[in-house]
Amino acid sequence: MYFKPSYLNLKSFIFLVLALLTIESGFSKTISLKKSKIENKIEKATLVSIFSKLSQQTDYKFSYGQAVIADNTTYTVNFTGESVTSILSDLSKKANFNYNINGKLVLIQKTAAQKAVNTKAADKIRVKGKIVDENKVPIPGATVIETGTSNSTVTDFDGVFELSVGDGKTIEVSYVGYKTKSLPAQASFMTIQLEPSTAELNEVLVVGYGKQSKKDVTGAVTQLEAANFKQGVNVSVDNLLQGKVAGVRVVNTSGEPGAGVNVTIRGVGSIRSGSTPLFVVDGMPLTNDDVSPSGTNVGFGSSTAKNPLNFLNTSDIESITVLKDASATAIYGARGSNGVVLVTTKKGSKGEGTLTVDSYMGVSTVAHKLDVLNAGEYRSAIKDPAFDHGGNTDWQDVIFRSAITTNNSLSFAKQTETGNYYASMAQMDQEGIIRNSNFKRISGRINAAESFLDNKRLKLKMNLTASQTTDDGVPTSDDGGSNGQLIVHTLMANPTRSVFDANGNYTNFNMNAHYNPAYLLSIFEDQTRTLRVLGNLEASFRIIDGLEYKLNLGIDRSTSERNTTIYPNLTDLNPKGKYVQNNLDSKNSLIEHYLTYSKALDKHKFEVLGGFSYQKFERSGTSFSIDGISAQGAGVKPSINPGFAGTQSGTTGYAQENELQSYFGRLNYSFDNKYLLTASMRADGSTRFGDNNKYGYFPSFALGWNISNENFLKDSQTINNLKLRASWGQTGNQEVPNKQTKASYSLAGPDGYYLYNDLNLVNGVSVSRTANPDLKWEVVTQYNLGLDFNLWNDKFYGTVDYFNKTTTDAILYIPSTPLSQTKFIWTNIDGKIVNKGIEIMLGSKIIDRKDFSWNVDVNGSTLNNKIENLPLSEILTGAISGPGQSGVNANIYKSGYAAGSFYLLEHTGFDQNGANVFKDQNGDGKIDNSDRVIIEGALPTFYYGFNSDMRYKNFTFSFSIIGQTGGYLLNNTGLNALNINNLASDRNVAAGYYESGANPANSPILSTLFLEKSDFIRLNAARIGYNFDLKGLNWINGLTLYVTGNNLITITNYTGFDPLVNTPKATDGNQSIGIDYAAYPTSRTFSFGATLKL
Amino acid sequence: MKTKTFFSIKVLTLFSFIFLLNSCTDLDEVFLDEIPGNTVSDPAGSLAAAYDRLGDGTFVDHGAIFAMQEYTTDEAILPTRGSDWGDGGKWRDMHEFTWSSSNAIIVGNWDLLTNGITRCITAIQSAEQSSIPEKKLFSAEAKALLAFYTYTTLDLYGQAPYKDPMDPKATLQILKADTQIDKLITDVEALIPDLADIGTQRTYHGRFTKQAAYGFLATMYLNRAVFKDRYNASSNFNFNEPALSGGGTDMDRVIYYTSLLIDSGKFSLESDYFKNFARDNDNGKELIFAISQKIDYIRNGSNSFAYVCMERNQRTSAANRGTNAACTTPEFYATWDGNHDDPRFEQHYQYADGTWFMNDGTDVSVPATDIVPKSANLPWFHFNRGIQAGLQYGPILLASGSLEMVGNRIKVSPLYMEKSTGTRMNFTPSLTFSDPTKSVFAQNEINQGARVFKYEFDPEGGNGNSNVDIPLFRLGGIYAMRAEAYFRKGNTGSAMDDLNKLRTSRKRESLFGNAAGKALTSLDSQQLYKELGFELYWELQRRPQSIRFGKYDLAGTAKAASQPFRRIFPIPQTVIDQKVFQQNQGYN
Repeated sequence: MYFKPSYLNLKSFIFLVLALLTIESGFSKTISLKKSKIENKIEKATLVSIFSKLSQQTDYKFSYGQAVIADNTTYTVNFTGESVTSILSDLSKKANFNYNINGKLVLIQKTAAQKAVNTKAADKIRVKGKIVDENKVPIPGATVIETGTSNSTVTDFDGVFELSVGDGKTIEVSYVGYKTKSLPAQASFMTIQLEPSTAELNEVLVVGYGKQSKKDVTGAVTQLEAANFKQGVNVSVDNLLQGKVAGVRVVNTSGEPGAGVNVTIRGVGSIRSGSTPLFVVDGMPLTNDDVSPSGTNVGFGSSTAKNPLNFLNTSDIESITVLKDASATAIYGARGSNGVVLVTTKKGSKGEGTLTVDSYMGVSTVAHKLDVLNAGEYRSAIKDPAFDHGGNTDWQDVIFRSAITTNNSLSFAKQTETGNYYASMAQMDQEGIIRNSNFKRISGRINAAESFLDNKRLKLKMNLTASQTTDDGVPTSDDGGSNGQLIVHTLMANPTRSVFDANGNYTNFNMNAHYNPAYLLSIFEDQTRTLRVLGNLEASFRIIDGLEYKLNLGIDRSTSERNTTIYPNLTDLNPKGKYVQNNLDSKNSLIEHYLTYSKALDKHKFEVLGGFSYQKFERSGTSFSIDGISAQGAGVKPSINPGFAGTQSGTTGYAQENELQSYFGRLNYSFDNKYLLTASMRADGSTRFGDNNKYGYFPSFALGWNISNENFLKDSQTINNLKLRASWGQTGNQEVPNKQTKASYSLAGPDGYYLYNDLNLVNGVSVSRTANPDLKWEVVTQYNLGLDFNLWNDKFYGTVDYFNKTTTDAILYIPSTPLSQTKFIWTNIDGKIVNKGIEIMLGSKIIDRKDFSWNVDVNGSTLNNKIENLPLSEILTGAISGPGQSGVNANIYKSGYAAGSFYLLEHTGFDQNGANVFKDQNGDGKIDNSDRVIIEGALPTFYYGFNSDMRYKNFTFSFSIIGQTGGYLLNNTGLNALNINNLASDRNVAAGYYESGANPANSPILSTLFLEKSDFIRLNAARIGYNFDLKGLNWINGLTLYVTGNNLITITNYTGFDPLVNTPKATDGNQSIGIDYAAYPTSRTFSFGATLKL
Repeated sequence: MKTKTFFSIKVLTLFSFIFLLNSCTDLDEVFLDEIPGNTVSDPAGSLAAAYDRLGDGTFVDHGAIFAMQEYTTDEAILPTRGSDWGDGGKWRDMHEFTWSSSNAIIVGNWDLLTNGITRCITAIQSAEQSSIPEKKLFSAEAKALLAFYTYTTLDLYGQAPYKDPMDPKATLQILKADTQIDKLITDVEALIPDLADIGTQRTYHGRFTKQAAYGFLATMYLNRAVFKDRYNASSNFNFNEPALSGGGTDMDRVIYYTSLLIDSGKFSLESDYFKNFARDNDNGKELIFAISQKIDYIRNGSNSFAYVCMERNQRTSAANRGTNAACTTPEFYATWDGNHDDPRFEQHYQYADGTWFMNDGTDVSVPATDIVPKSANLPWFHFNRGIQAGLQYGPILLASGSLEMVGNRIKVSPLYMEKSTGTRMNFTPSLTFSDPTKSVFAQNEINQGARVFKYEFDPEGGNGNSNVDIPLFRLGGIYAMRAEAYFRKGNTGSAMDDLNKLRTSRKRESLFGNAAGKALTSLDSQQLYKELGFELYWELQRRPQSIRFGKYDLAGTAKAASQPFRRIFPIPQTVIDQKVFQQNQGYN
């Protein structure tokens, strides 16, 4: 194994040094002055090199603007024994500049005469001043412009500026994120304080490889600031987006703390597993792969890995930007097709250092208990008296609990004149609402930035976070099979059973697939410990004004160990006990070089970006199991010493790596702030692609028109902003397993045979795939048409986008041609997946007064998904779990229908005996699989969010509502756990099924009986806060007490735990959609907390 | 301004150029955990993989080839039992003849068999490209296995894919049953000189030897007429066509090859019929070609054929149970009328201390001295073997996790159905479906059906694993084939001799005085068909037998009379989608 990035780093550093030397060579030939003493020398040089030399040889620092840099004339300077003052005095006359020595700082200002502007020097006054922010901290880099001219300057790092302006003229001061201020020029020193802009319009958006002012953005980009995140208890960053961004659907795969989250942006663009957007944290693209192993099936089904984003402490996050259309995402090329989520962590903010302590404590309970028969109802429902065991137990109450969450975080941060830092530590301890399930996280972060060299020529920024998460799982899964898993057993456990028997032991139901859920909890342990460290270093070097070279080095490293134990037990699921250890090691390293050049020429504004990126992903893991472990409580736990007892079995390991090498470029051009153009291109090479298709090319074009800047609207008081955007572009998706393009084999015992008469096992050749040397990325071509508007000073604002996203060359795992090495092959198919929809976001600052403000916004999106020209008759996915359900699939992908449509028998009711009646679709008098119908709606067609934020004096009150319509959920919980059939087999049923008149003799058959509308509307989060006035305590900056609630009220007809659930379970690599696999139920949480700022 | 712009473009170009040179990688994928390359250079490993495919599901799991060869016949049925075994109708499809080209069993078996073909092609290539001493042997065995997989595919699907192993650019060919059967026969005959004699060159009954080839050739000749005229409306197949070699007819060749085995002296009939299907059958005297199985926690043999019949409350130990799935049909059960004393019908178990398990309500207890191998001292309860009907008795699992004991013996009690606790475990030979066309039981009817405990339930590795070798060609079956061939040639006397050899070589357990089976005194086609069932039930032979005897299309339990096109299965829809194969007639 060799390590490419380090070789790379060396190479790039050499390159950087070389590049610097080239630039430096102008000076080095002639300058050999000693420090502080200026030696006898007469020479010719440009102003820049003269100042550079002077600053090297003396203590003075020089600050100058574009005009000085632009002056390529060489001037003769006599350094002989002269003081700096006299040199400058002499030079200022020759080169037409003014200078001002301020301590050790020399400010150079080219006089206007140099550019032969038609203003007379005599009419000019020299305005000097300082620009400060709301905290009276100087703002470097603010633009000061003489109104109506192009005569401008930029403040230095002390926020100081100097500008010659016409007498009686006004100057305008502007800085990104602040309201532009215009005021009459004065000869006296002006201290100008800028107010932060709250206007929508002046927002700066984080975009791929940079930032853009919102008015210049041509793509569909939505940015959420911390204040707008989903409130309350959130483990991971993706949850913060729920209900907040049009077109983004955030669905938990289960209610388990730390469980996976399913984020889809603009629908499902892919049939196979892999519709997750690309997450980029502080410029470091993460892999979508899990960073912790999934749990091996020890009898209750295998469980999925935890959410890989759990490592980020949500309170460290400053903003989340969602890039939706191709104009915004194409710069991420082969990973952009599912949208991109840019996560930006906090920086030190201006002003005094801040120390923030936030603590909260929350209590969670199950949001919705299912209505099953209680002991009394059950007794009267059963026909067979043997099913009455004399007890009275609500099994849901037995396994659910009031779970406590505590979260404490501490951060301190500061911005200095040249840099900033932010450091935080946080600890989160969340109990799950099912006993024994827990999530714990300890995390730390340091973000630091500092500037070096003249006028911040070199900026270095480092982000580093490390976290340790510990998950304690319970035996829940999405593939419990006919034996079921914990939730299934809880729901169907006979309510006349008791938890404990007369001897105080857990009651043994003593039947296969009839297990006491409390007993299951007691014999199972599943702990996952994951350590993840993510760090990156960004260097930015200004070569000349406007031209910057940037370097981004990043590393994302994680190790995880999962210990799953089922102790020797009285069930027939591993009665001798079993211990499985799964380890996963992953590393993702990145190096990026890019150049940005920005230039404003009169009304033309250019921004050019060009770069190179190399990323390498390494993954490896091992797994082994021990059968026949020692009894619970006896001996040493196998997770501590696997060798203590039992026999080892099933030892495996793997190691894989893949690389991405990319070149990218982008041009942003705007004319007169009215017409905007963005064009970008990325070439992505991936080791995952076949030899015949190493590089994919992903272009995009976008146009924007700031209509409100046109003359006819310029003075409108109603319309503050009106912008039309149109974009087209292509992005890719390379989420396909590694190693698909080349043939290989391994030797494996399970594929071997007892070849010789000694009956020893000869390992067999195992071929795990059919190679596809033509494999390439999936292409998503997306059109987007958008309109942004702000009316009546943000009293009403909004965005409307129409999108059409078509996936071609879709990567699919399909049956291979006969006699291929394996029965399936990863290949690009000719079919298309089309996602169309409209996204609307409307907002209003209804009230904006000193004592009372109220903002609301609403977002919604429609989605129309269709599969076209699939070269297969159908792809069946969505394997149903439960007795008598093996090989039963609920989802179908078929041309002409939406992705993941349901394929079921149509249940029309019950006959007089309570038997199922299904519709005989083909009229052949027989009900069989050919009578199944396709029902679209695994994806809701409309989903929305509503957010309100109110502040009255010291009180704040905010809430958030989410909802969806037009979709269905296949209630596998009902089919599996709560079928009427259970009444005939000593199990419980859902009250609703019992009352429906169904006959307990009916066998569980997948049909529309279990297909339910997933429409709902939910009060997702609410928060009341109080900010204390602590005028007497000047050492406290603020104290806020708050109460939040999550998942408070849900209105739905869905009979399962939660209509907002999606467990994407793959069948042969293709994902299921819209199936509720009796997942760990969701919780309702109330929390109380305090934020103290010092 | 202009110069400055120029300068930056220059810089940009320079940078871009350096970036280009700075390419980090040629994007060649690195394989860390596999051996890259198109050719497999491990002849033993690739031959092992070709053998592995016989097991690993294909011929050892009730849901694989068994489901197509047995559930479609009178010998076996897997009805929906209350909450269990609905499974989207795939089991009922098999017995009710309602399968379509997307039935999971049909799709799955196609994949298994064609994967067998693929593995054989790799094994042939790997052997041919090697210079190992076993080159010829391995190559011949791989070719023989290729023929075996191909034959089975043609038998079930009428078509099979093929690629020339020796031509890397070979295109896919589609073989058809009616023409390919002749090629297969001549190919296998040509391989015989290179195959080992069983027991030589480190071979045993787990390998494809000369003797396996004889059994296979007899089978192919016996079915050649059906292959050539699959859809014959009156099932009037011409079994006496001239053979491809050796003069004579197909039936002569069956007699020739079976006689080679019968007369070889290498095999002999077991007097204990059920030893052929027991845990210790790795030294079975009858086994000519079998799938070798072991519980080694790596590859693990399959216990499926034993597990599939046993009720969930029938426990060979506290750590084992059955799954209450398949049973036999009333028609097949009825063929045994008057033959319940045949040693192949049923066999009681006798414990070391002399205790018999009577399973008739008279049992009190059995000794707990038999211990499940490699277990934590778990007492091992032995059920009786053969066809089990009527009320069932056995040990009861206590809530404590142990079997109920009487003193230090295992207590025997009346058993009840596990998923219908009030229903007595009564394996009624009759199957009473509320709708006779649908093999669906309500929860309190899940007890029905006589069970086939022919294969020994191996309790050693949970419920799923077994040490029992699964016979593919067994001397008993060779006699049965020869009997059928004699019969079809009109030589009823010789046919009866062979059948009587089978009947009388088997002895009943000592409970019945080690009585030998009774000889037949007359033989007709109906009786011959029954005899084939007696000897070979549940050995994946019934469908070809029933087609040869014209029984396949007839109505039966939960099955209406069917059309001849159902004598073969459809090509899976997933394969048709690739537009290489044409669908079989009747399935479009």
